[in-house]
Amino acid sequence: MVRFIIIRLLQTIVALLGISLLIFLLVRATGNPIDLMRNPSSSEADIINLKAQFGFDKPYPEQYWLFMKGIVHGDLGKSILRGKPVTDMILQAAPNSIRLGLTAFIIGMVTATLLGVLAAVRRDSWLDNVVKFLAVLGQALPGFWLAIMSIWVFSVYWHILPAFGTSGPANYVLPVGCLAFFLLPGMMRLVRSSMLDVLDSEYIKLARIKGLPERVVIWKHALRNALIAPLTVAGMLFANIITGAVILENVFAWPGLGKMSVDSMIARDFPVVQGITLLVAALVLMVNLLVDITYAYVDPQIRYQNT
Amino acid sequence: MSNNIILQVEDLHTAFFTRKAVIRAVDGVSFFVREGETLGIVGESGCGKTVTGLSLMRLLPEPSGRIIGGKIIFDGRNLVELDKQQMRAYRGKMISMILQDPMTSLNPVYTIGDQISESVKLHQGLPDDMVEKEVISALRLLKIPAPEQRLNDYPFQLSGGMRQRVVGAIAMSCHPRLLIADEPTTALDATIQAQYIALFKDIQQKTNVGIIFITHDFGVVANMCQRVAVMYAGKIVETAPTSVIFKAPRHPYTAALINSVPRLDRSKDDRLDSIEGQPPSMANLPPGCRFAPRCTVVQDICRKQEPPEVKVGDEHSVSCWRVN
Amino acid sequence: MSIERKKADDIVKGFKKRRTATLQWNFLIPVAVLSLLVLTAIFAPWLAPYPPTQTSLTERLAPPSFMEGGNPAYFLGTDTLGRDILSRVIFGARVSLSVSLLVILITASVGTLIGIIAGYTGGRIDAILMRITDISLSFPAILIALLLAVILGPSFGTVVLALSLFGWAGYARLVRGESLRLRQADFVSQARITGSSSMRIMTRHIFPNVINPLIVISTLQIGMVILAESALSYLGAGIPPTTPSWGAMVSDGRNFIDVAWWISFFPGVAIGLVVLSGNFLGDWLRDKLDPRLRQL
Repeated sequence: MVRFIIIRLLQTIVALLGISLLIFLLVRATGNPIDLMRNPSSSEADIINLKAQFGFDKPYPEQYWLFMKGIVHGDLGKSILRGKPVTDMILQAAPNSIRLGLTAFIIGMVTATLLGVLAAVRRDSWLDNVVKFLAVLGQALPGFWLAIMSIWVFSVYWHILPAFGTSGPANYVLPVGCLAFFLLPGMMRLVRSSMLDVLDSEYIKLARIKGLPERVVIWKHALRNALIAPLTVAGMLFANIITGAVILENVFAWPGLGKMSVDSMIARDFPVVQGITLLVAALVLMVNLLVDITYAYVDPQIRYQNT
Repeated sequence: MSNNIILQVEDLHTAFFTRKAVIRAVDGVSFFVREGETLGIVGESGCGKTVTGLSLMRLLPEPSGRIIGGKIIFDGRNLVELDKQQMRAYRGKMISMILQDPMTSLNPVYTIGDQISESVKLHQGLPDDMVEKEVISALRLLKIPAPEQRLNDYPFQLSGGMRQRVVGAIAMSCHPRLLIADEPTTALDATIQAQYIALFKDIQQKTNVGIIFITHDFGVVANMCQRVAVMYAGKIVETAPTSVIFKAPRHPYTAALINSVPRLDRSKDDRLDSIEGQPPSMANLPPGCRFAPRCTVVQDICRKQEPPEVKVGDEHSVSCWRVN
Repeated sequence: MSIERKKADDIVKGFKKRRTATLQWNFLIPVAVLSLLVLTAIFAPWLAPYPPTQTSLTERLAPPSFMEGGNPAYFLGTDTLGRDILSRVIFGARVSLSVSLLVILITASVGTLIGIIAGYTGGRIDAILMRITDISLSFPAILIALLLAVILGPSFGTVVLALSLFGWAGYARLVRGESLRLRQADFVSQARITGSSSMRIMTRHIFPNVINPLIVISTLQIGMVILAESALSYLGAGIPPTTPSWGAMVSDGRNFIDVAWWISFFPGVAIGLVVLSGNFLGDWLRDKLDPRLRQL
């Protein structure tokens, strides 16, 4: 197990280096990022000045070294637009994103698991049909559109929920609800199909032969096995949360990282977008590492193989 | 072996209702099992022997499989009439079952100890320290070496033969009176097969459990069973004491099955026979005797009318026009 | 006849077999919608009642013609600049279609190549390629898209690049799995024994056998790409505003949702309908061509 974690950890570090290099090169793909920052009035001297200030006059390997050194020290550069350190801006916006993402994640996952399991257990019942319908619709309709329509229904038409702001619990309902619904269909479908496979297995038959109540058969014997398959795609799930958060924070003007990255994109404030992308890349890799470890924990075969 | 009948199945009908067709997998089957006795149910795959076993447990795949007629009388009660709750009290405690493939019939994410103690706790209501004792004694009964250490093992850490013993331990952990073994040795290596059968004979001596041994292999039957029921296409075509059936099979299908088993007491130049053709599709049965299309001694009447069951000896009956 | 047999016979007789549908609606409707999409995209200039960028300050925020106060000249109403929504939805089909076709073409080719190499070669190369694939699969493309939009500016090429950069991974994983399986197949062993080169085995023996799953996944991918493209356009990181695209249209209506819901509503319905059709057609194809893929 320890060996397994160390190998995965090393792989994660290599991957992180790879992604940072990719981002570093992408940013310089057009030649010189300073060109992006210059406004029409700036003089040739200003540009040389800026280049020196951001270190763009140095050769690439040295730039990359400085870039990485900065990252390690938590320095992601300065916002061109506001002149503030990107790290500070991220730290300010992050809690809003985490609150939104985490609540939606928990609600979405619990609902998806519950509905997925029940749909599989009562296959072809009305509940199963509702779940299938929701899954199909949820995967086809764009999240931002559903969010806007929910604003229209709940804020404009019924006046029961606010569409903006972060002040009270009521402000959370629409963004969290929409993000949770954004995550729901894929997870629900996965739990359902994986559960159907497991319910068909011999060990479930054996559990029933033992005379165990259905409740134990489903929630103890079947669920744990059924969750192994969705766990393998938890990395993709995390990507989904990020995608959903970027989109929905913008719909609901939620002051999180997603909104910040889009605002900075529109203002062409590249250090901010680059910083957020790097942060998310690191998070994605961490989540994948965690998933691997959890996976090993849930499936004893992997846990023992690698000790 | 006593004369005490613990299970009496009368005219059992089980069908699968699918979108496209109704498949009557078990079509009027009757048999009984005595305490401490082993009844073999023999037939080719798809003949309904496994479905018969699952019907007895009332564990047909839902919602398509259903018992649509007949009685399963166990210990004086008709199991067909029990509701789900009542039936569950019988499973694992009074009637148990061993499935064919030991590689897939244990839950991969729980330890052996956990999976056995689960039944013990459920059916015997023992305090925790007693549960472990019971679990270990179940492992001992199945002659699993170092039972204390096996408790924390996961299924994947054991060999196929050992896993099948664990499945046996689960089945025997609550001292059931009837055990349904559905091809328990088919997935095992030949040497381990023989061990497993010897083990069960021993267990039967100790516990006096009645066993229904479902198999396609007459060789295993000779070794294990006191009586045999031969199934073909959802029906029992012949039933007899094992000693009788090997000496004087009356149904051509039984004879053919026995002939396809290699035996030591036959001379070398006796050829092993195989049965020509395929069993009929259960969705599309021929009229008359179901074996007629493959029978080597078929008569006109066989293709027109189903043969009635005829008693030809002590606990020996056959459904074949040739016998009349 | 025994009582139990009679009882059983009666139950069987009472069971009504479900009628099996003769017309395959789950195939015909999606195909019809997708054909409509293609035709609309091609013939947009002839189908649209107005040029998509024609503004009319006097006709701003006109409701759909079937609503109270609607102008019969504008079937789906107009937006904040008085542009005809129907015409813009029709022209928007061009963006969705061209982006999705191009992205699928690129990702399928790259993914197949990587997948076959990884699956057939195995060993260390496979391990490295699959690790990269796994990371790509779990990387939110939207962020790279935003980054690219900053660097290159929002454009058609940026969108295609952003969606292709990680989009190949799904194909690679699938094709790799298939190649791994095929590598063990007898006909591949046979080819190897007779001395075929690896290159030849990959192109002649493995590739033809992954075409079916590729078709299925590509069809399912239509919806995914259209959704992703619309999201980028919604955020302003997609096709520049002068070209009508469905995502951007939904975005146009965001701040006017309290007075003119139709601006956002109709383009969203168009997206939903097309994606739904793509998904249904993909499911249908999967059941026909490759039922093993049901897990996906």
